[in-house]
Amino acid sequence: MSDKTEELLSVWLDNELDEKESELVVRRLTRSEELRDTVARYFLIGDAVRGELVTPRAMELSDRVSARLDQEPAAGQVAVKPRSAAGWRRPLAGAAVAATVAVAAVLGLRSGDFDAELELAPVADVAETSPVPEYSVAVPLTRRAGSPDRLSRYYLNHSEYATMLGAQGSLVRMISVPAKEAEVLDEDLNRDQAELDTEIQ
Amino acid sequence: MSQARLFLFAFFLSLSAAPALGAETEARELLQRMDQAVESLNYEGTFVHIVDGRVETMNVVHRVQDGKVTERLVSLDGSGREIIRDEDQVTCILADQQSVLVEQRKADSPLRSALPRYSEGLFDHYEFVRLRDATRLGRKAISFEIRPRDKYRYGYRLWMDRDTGMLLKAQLIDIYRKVAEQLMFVSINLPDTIPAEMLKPTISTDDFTWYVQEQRNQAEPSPSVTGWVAGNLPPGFELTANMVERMAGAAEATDHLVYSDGMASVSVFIEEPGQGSEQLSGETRIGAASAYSTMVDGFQVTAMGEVPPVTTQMIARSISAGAGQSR
Repeated sequence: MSDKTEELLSVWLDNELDEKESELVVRRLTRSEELRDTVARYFLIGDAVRGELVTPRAMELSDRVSARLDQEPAAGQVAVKPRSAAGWRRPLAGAAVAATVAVAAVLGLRSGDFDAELELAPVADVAETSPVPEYSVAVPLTRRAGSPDRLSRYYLNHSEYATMLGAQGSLVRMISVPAKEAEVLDEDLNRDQAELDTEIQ
Repeated sequence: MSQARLFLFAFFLSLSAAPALGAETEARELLQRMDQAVESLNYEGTFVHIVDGRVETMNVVHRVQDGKVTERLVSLDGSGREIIRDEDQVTCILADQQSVLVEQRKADSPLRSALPRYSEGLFDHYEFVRLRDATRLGRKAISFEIRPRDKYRYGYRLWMDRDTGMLLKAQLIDIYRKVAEQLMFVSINLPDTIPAEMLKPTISTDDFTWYVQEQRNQAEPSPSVTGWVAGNLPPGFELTANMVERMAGAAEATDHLVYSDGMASVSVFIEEPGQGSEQLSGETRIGAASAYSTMVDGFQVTAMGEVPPVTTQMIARSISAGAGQSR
């Protein structure tokens, strides 16, 4: 990406572009996933610069880890893999994964980094400065074509009962679907299955 | 404690208590004003939705004509997903699934009361924090945070236009105090009127399968009541709706309970597993919303809402057929 684009994005994120320029950025954004990824990063940096980033202090690290562990289903419980809508993500089940999750929670990794080798950074350092979102082991699953799946049905229905703000958000989530998911469908399916198999053993 | 000390203690206590009450009133006023603006103003704009390090750009058109609201939400990233919401229906076009879901609105029914209100009890579970005002899109914005007091709910950071009350930016804060999801307008117009053509879908749905929820029986004074009950709820969550309904695309009726703490709400859906349809189990997420599914007495139970996974799990696992109730 050129310096010019970077500069433009940064000005755009500060809401300082005029309408025409802003439209141009949005148009480019809708076509380029790379650009969208960049914007996601910029958002976090921008939030940090403006002092809007929330730092973890309400909970100590140990609490964060144990909270994560509490959330994991009990040992030996292997969930039936659902077929769910694009956009729905499903964390891995089982105590076998819990340790990895704890490590990941501490390191504050993003879900995309899960397959990568874990880089052992100083924990305190990461916790204080890392602007990345809280880690969750999320695996995108596939859906049956041509039929509204149960979760989408539920979610659309639920949106009626959310607060105004929540309702707005839930409708947004209904149509917010990663474009690349369709292409990696089989790959995802195989990986899901492999991970489930590992858990069972 | 000496009398002087006791006096000082009481004095400081009153100092800390008085502004808090004022702040809560201010918070409720701000929230109500924003809700009203988001629903009652005419606006058209582009916003970005960021979750899990992913950015989606969307366009929203919100039109109020003769007191009737129509809204259109379109993904600009080529997924072909689009939602049109009017007074009667929510039409969800899922081009990637070649299907259209149509749900009947409930807003005019007695269920309207199920919508969370910003009651006084809200601040038993949330704290109001006024943030530094900022400029957004050339507008002066009031900024504040609704911070949860425990791990069962999310927090909200909001930026609203000082002049109109319109929401300009919103962040959902997770229990680790990190931004779990955000929504931010990158352009917004607030015209006096919006032409009806702007609310028409751009996608041709001719070949799609339509799943339309049955028209509700208007004569029916209240929805049927389910016999299910959640035995374990996070503090402050109360039952706000309880009904049996047939949803779009579903073969059987579904029992639906709604629990809310006044800010967030959790829906619980209970239905027969059904032949040929997928069975759900465990935790699922959509953005910052979470769902937890389990089986109870041979029924599929799913709790979902814009709350941490621990909350949906807790509620789903505590669902039972209820004492003395029969289905």
